[in-house]
Amino acid sequence: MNPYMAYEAVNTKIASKKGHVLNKEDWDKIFGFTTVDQLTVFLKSKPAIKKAFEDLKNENIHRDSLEAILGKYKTIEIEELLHYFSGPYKDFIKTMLIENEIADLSLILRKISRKEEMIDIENRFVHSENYTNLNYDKLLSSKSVVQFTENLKGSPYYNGLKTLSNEDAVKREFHIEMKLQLVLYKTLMAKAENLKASDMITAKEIIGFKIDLENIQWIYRAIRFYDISPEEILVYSLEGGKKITYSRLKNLCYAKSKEEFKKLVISYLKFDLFKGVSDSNTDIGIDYNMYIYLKNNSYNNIGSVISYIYMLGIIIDDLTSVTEGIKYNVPKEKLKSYLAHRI
Amino acid sequence: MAIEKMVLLKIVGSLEEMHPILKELILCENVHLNLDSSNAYNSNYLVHQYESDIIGSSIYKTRDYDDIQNECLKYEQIVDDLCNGLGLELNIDKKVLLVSNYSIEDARLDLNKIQSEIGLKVEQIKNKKFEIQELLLFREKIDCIYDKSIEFDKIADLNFFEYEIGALSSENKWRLKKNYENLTAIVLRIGIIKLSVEDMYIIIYPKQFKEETTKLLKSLNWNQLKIPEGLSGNSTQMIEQVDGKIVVLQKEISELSNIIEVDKEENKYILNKIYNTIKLEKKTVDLEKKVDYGDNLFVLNVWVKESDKISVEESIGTVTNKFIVTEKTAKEMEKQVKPPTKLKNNWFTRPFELIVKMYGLPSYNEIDPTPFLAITFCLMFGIMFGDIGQGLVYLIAGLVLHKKMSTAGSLVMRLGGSSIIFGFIYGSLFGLEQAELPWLPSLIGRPLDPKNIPMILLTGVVFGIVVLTISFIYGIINSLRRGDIEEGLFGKNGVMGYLFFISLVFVAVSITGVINLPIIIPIIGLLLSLTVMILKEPVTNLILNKKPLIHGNVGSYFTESIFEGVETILNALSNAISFIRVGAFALNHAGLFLAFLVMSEMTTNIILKIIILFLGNLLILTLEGLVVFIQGLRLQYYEMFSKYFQGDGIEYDPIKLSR
Repeated sequence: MNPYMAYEAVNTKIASKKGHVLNKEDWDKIFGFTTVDQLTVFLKSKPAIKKAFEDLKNENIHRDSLEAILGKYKTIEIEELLHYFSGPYKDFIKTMLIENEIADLSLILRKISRKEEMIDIENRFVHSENYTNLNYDKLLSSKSVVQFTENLKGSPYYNGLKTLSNEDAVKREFHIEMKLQLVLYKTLMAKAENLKASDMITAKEIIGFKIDLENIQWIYRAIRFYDISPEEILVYSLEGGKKITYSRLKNLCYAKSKEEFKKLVISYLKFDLFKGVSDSNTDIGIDYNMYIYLKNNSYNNIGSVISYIYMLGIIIDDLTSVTEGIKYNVPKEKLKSYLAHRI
Repeated sequence: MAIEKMVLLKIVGSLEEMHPILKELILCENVHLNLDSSNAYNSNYLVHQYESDIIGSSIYKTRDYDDIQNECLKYEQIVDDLCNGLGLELNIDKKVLLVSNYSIEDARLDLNKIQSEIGLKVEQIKNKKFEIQELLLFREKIDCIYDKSIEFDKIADLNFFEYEIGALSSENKWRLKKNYENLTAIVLRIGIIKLSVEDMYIIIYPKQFKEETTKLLKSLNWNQLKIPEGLSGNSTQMIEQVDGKIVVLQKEISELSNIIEVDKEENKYILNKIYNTIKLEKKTVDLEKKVDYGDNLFVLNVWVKESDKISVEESIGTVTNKFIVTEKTAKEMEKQVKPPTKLKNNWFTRPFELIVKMYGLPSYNEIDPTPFLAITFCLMFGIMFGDIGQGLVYLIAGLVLHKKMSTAGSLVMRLGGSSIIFGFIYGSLFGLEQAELPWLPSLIGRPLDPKNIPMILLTGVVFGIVVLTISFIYGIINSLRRGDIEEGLFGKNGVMGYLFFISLVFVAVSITGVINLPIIIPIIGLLLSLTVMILKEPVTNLILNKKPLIHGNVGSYFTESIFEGVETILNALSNAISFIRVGAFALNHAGLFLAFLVMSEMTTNIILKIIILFLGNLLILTLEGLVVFIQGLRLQYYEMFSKYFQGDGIEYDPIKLSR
């Protein structure tokens, strides 16, 4: 019996949660919608997702964007799961909230660096208010990128961003993204160390797989779109991958062409990440393969929680794509190809 | 001893005079602003009505509030800088604004004058202090280089190579090291920075690779150390130069400080006035943005205490006589809006507002529970913790605490007082009773006296029945004031709830034979009240002649109300029994000390005896005192407040300059 985690309770809870998230009929219905309002009404009728809308009502926040509500949904779910854990397990799961926190930090930084108005920016926040250590009022009051990073002093994000200038924030947006990702995965791996041996192995395996996919996406985007040297690409890559060791990572960074890179990826992962994925949508490949990976593995330990949280992220990404698709009138068949749930 | 009477004033004035009127309202500190845009206030209608009645001047052009606010911020920054330079601390103080008619224009002129006199010097001091700080930082880093003989000028003279010195974290250093073979630069560690995860490095690279090296360093969060102008040579020489520079800068600062010190007191007075004027202007503009207005009129809804009504009107009268104030009592408005609550209690009960507010603030039309709570809480605490000596300790502790935390201190003093009174009733001084101190006065004798035990326990229950009866009465009055007949008459905290509770008490009385009452009478009361409670919605609707009798699903209504009935039975039982704890803690208090007394009797050493008794008293004063306080709180919140108190009022919060 693990003193920090109520296994049976968590597994039952997750099983019931999974039952409430969208099934095949739901997705079929979703594809029939022609307006975002229809989708909103439908999601509001789903008991599991309804909470996100209700919670916002309680907080007296008026959110106009469905994307932000969905983002917050994941935070609420993780917060709920946290009740079942204590000690190092709680610490570990709390770290999974960082993903949404860094989304908000990037958003604020983008606004500051581009000197955009911050009006109602709070309505787009998706981080957990209950578990954050950051002072968002202070961050929002920052007048410049340098002041923003100074206000982050004392938080784990500071070191990665402290040398950031305004120009960097505009021209090297990937620097912000990757440095924050680095914090997320480094902390996750560090917190996993404190779990019981079997849980630690599972946690590291799932996160390691995710890191592999994130690295591949990053290197591919860097080679394809950014004018940066292989040395830099390597510096920004994440450590702790499952199949892609450091030397393999190096090979990928120094790949001479797009084709060579893709070939290397297939030989390392034993599947084609880029199958049916266009250059600008590599994140779909990530979500799809993560989805398959999680579906093919079932866990009876901490893995079930990580798997559920990642799965939720994928569903939310898909719903966000559908929302965009409806907004821009993307044909249904094409829209389906943008989703991890290939129906 | 109640809730302060409020009136709603609707102030209508011309837009041209809105600014000075609002200023006056802020300074008089008596108005609770209502920004609720609820239709109940009818502001829009009023604006139109008055606008058609009063032939206004030309259409008033509202000011650009953002501009004014930005301007205020700018001035505030200047005042801030000047104060930092002069080492002054300014406070919000409305008195400086009351003495003379000082406007924001005057403030602007005065500020410009001070700024032109000393602004430049203050700025220079600030810059020089900053320079010293930078130099110290540089000194710290350059000082940690191992090899003090490296001559950086010479490296800078290389034809084909460039160099940078700076700090790199060990984590990033490893990233660099792992890919060293692909690097186009030489990286050498030249020093360790104490108390930091970073170390000092020198990086030398061919000039042709400058761009890619710089980019790579950026990705590694390279923190370059720039050598300040005018420094040269090796690090030892640089440190000497830095020290020399700092001495010069400090001398310059002290010279500048001497000059600005001359008129410091006068400047402080003026700056304080400017500071408060800016704050008032900002606050006024904040309010202006929220006021309802038409083409040339504004309407403001404010709640004021009835007693302050005249003084508020007089305050506005000092600005203009062109204004209209209409008044509505809280009673006229309370159906639509919530008036704010200001508690009004006497010196004895006031500190207990703290306990009430911890639960919630009574709404305007609710009975203020503070006096009732004050009396019952003191009684409960006294019964449970009656001791002359220990009460005196609390009284003194309260007096001491009063200076730092006035409310908490006063509360402890009152509880201590109650404890002393009950100490005389029990005859207990620091736990010692008549057996040890025969001269001690005592009304009923020691609580643990076998003949006293049942009486004390029973007193607790009787006390409970009395206070619960009062709670029920309060609850019924509150419900009826809210117009909630269903809850007030037929609910579990209403008349029927009370009938049920008291019938239950009489069943017990009848069974024990204390009063010769046929048991059937209270049982009929029980059944009757329970039935009415289960049928409360249809019965209410029948009386009020409303259809349908039951809203919603009939099945679910009955399920719900039957469960509620069961809950009422359990509650009624537990409510009365709960109060046994009042008696039980009185016994416990004496019992706990008895344990220490017995221990002290085991030794003949008088010092040891005293130590044991002292420790016993200490434990009782700290731990048991806290437990008794919490038990009292529990009885108030859980058993009593739940019967009659909702606590969802809005606090009366007048606008003030200081907030």
